[in-house]
Formats: sequence, C-alpha cells, structure tokens
Amino acid sequence: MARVSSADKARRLIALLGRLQAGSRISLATLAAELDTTSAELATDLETLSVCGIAPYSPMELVPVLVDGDVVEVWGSIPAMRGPVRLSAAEAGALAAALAAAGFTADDPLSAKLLAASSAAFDAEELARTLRTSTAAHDSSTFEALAAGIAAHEVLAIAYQREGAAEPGVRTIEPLQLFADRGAWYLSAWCRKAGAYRTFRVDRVRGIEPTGEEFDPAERGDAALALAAFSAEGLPVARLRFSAGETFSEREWPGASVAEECADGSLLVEVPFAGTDWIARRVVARLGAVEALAPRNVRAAVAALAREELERL
Amino acid sequence: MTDAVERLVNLAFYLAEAREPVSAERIRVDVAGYPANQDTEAFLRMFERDKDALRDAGLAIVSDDGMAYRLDRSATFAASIDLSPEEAAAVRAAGGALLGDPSFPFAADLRLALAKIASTIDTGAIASAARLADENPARQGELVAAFADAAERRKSVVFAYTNSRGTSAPHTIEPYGLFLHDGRWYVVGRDVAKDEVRTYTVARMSDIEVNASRPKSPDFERPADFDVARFTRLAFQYGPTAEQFDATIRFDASSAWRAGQLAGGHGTIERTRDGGALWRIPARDRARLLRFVLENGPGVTLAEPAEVAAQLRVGLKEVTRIHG
Repeated sequence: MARVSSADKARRLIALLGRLQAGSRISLATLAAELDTTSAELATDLETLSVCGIAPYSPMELVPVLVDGDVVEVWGSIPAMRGPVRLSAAEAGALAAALAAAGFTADDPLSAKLLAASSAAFDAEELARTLRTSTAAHDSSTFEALAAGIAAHEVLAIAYQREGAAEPGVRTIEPLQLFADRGAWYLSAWCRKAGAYRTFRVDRVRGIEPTGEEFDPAERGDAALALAAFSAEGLPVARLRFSAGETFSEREWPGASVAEECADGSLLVEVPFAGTDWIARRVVARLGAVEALAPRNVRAAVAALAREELERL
Repeated sequence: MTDAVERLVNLAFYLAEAREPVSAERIRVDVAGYPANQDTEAFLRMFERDKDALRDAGLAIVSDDGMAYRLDRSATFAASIDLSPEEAAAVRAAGGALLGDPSFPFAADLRLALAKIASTIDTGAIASAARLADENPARQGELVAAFADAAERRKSVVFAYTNSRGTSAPHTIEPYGLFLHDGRWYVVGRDVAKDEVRTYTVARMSDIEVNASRPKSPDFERPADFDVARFTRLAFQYGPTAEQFDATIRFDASSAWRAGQLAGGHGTIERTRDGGALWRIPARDRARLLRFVLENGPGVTLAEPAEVAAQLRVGLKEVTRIHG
C-alpha cells in the first residue's frame, strides 16, 4: 500500500469526525475498509486523534476516542466541532462525477441535496461544463428503486422490455447487484419466471413495484455474483463470418475473439451471447457484411429478423 | 514530540474553537505541534502548507485582513442531509461501484466524500461494480486524473499521440475538459501548434507531462463559453465535416419512450400525433447510422434522407439472401 502523507492522514481523520458521535461503537475493520486502509494503520491514526484537541490539552479537551480491539469507542463529544465538515470542492466534484456516472445529473434532487453539504468553493455548473462521465440512459428513480431493493433484499416486480421486444413483460425478481459497463448499467437478479440468474439493462426497466416480500440472498449461494458483472463465462457461442474489409472490434462484440483469419480476408469470429435476439439484431445491422454461421437457431433468427424489418419498411 | 498529523488536527480544532480572528503568531504559540525553535520564515511556510491541507479537507479558513485567520463556520460545517432509503441506497450503490473501478479517476476524493456522509447513507452493503473504461482501465484512470488536475489548474500538457492510422507525434495542449464515451476517456483542449480545439483519446496517449513550472500560475484561460457536451458525439456523427447530412429517425408509438434515452441530449425530438417521435440529428457516417437504427429496433426507422433509407432495403435483402 502506498505511503499516505500526513496531510492525507489528517484529511482522513477530519472526514471521520462526523461519524464519531458520542456513545457510538464502530467496527475498526469496517472504518478501515471504507477508508481503504488497514486496521493497524487506522488504529495508529485514531490513537493520534485521541491526543488531539484544544488548549490546554487536558484530558477533557481531547478527542474522546479509544480503539479497543476491533471496536472504535467514542465516549464523549468531539471538541469544538459543530457538526460534520462539509465536502471539499474536490470531494464534492468526485461525488458529483460518481452520481453522474449513475445517471444523476447535477440538477437531480439527490445530487442537489448532497451537494448542498459541500464547500462553497464547489461549482456544479463548472463541473458540468468540463466533465461528463455519464452516458447512462435510465431514469435516476429506476436506479434508486433497484438499489433500495438490493439493500432491503426485497422482491421486485419489474416491467422489462427486452431488446427487440415491442412491449414490456412483467418479471418477479430478487435483485442482487448493480453494475456499469462502458456507460450502461445492468442489474443482476434471480428471475423467478426463468428460474435462473438473469442480467437486465436498467434503461429497459420501465416500471418497478416493490412486493413487500423479503428474500434471503444467501439462499441462492455465491454463484449469483459470479454470474454477474463482466463475465461471459458459460454463455453459448455463435460463429460469425466478417467479410473482408468489415471491421471487427472486440469492443463492439464483448468477449468475442477471432478464431480464424481466412485467405480471402474474411474473419471467423466467436461471439458469446446471452440472448438470440441480441446477436441476431447485431448481425442484421451489418447489412450483409457479417454472416451468422452457427448455431442454427441464430442463423434462423437473423433471417427471420431481416424479413421482419423488410416488411416494416 | 507532536507529529504533523496531530498538528494539523489541532489546528483544525483551534480554528473551530476560536471566538475571534487569530494571528499566525498566536496560532504558533497556542497550537501544539509548531516547533518553538523554528525561524519565522520556516514557520510561515509550514503554516501556509497547513492552511492548504485543511482547506483541502473542507475547512473554510478565511483571512479578513491578511493578518488574522478565522473559520467560516457556516461554510465549514454541514447541516444534516435528509435522504430517503431509496436515495441513500442509490448513493451507496453508485459510490461503491465507482470506488472499485480503476478507470474512475477521482476515487481518493470520492472515498473521503462517502466517509463524510457515511451516517446519511448507512443502508448496509449493496453489491455493485463498474467498468467505465475497458481498455487498460487503471492507466486511463491515472491519466484522466492528471488531465483533470491540469485542466483545473490551467496547466498545459505535453504528450505523444498515436492516431487511428498508427502515426505517433508529440502534442502540446491546453486541456479544457474531459468526457467518457462508450468505454473510453477523451480530452478536449486547444492544440497549441495547430491552434485548434481538438478531441484526443486518452488510451492513445503516452509520455504525458504536465507543465510543472510555476504550479500556482495558470498557463492559459479556458474560453468562457466552453462546454464539453458540444464535443461528445454519437457513433454515426464521426467523419469528415464535408460528409455531414441531416437525418430524421422515426420512433413508432411503442418505441417513443426510448427516443430521449437514445438521443442523450443530441439533436431535437418532436412528438407526433400518433404517439411516436421524430428525432432530427446531424450525421456523417451512413453505415453507422443504419446500424444504429437497426440495432435499436424494432419500432425505430430512418425517415430521412430517403437515399440512405433506401440502402436499408438493399442491405436487408442481402441479409436474407445470405441466411436464406
């Protein structure tokens, strides 16, 4: 772990002050994890904090904090401090950027509430004009409702419009994890309709109804998360031919790889796919420059989709 | 002996407690941690660094006459924030995801921000993850952090850039802003040699050097009307300016809900009487425009220009022929 400067250690302790309420007992390991440090280093810093205070530095004027094993104990009030310290301009900027990446713009009520607790030096407009982290297309209220479902282990009924579908369908799900991949957010959940883990694009969730029913996330085992973010493991694989001159980029076909470079300049590519509709659409969108060779159902889906699209014209 | 951490925290408490502005000399005497045998110049340099460190921590230290200091309490201490359980969970999920993403360039500041509001967002653990950038994410995160800092301090940056044709050349830019698009970070700035505002892909940069001379003096001023949003584009908007044309994309009634999502603030959207929508948007790349329309269907079609829309029919017939 990189050496932390004295200024950064002091900043870390000042950030913690709002958390150290009189009478509270907090896990040292939890605090250390939140601050990305070790329990031993944080314990040393808290010992330093315990001898800080105001003149004349008698025991009554020092920070009443004690580390006892894995517990941080606070037995009195922090001297002089009138409340938690506001977010500095850099901290507010980082929080605003993180929220923006999750679809919460600077004028979203949540961003506005949080940034009201920031330093006057933070300029939300300036940040919006100079930094864009968000390409997320979902409603922020959808993100909030899904996050709350995960936090409360609550079964949700969602109206979900899968790719290529004209209308949404209702799924009853046990929400497990939210993850972002290149700007789009996804939800990993146990889908009761499918009886399996499924990944849902958050911007295709068109409605959410909390059911009031609680689920036990341990019941499904750890396999849930292993199936989730960024993993193409276990998915079926389609074999596609990219004609000579047609660009293949792994970034456009996540998890895909070139299996063979043919003498005529074409490429045989293997692409993992979760849904036939998804891969069929992508092949059709290449307007003949990409051919689905296998499996047979993908090839048939491509032909059927192209006919449907022709009929729509 | 009092260490530097202790001195800084003591100074924070002292300023929070002080009833009236206090001089640097008084602070030197009252706050535990300033060496008694230090000469005045060395003390003043240390005190300047300490004030900067505490300001970085969020303390609003003000000097009314340049000689005495006080803490602006209302600007330093936050009132409590009242979040709903849904809002708290959203902050926890977004914050946790970005903290674990090496391509997010502001993790250290985000961590402290979350620590300060921890009691407000105490919802328990929420599994979340993020991968904003997918090519060498840690390197992109590190470079973007350097560019963001240079942009804020208005310092110029020198780097080597390998363009899409594989040619590498040195550039000096005045960085104005940064944006993320489809898994890649981009920097927008004025290229000094070309005297043009250009967009550069961070993943194609190497040997980056921020001008280290006179770190507190800006090298340039950013145009007052700069807005990084004007430089973000959709996939079909890249290409030579001369090839630009106006496209109209039609959403039928069942797909109109997606028009705003897909537009992402680009172009204009007009609702139609049948409940659908027309999205008017400048485009430069015909093949990518057709791909965009098909990938986002059903219910999304290209209405204009007619000659580009006609290519759709030809292409779809080719797909049916190949797969027939």
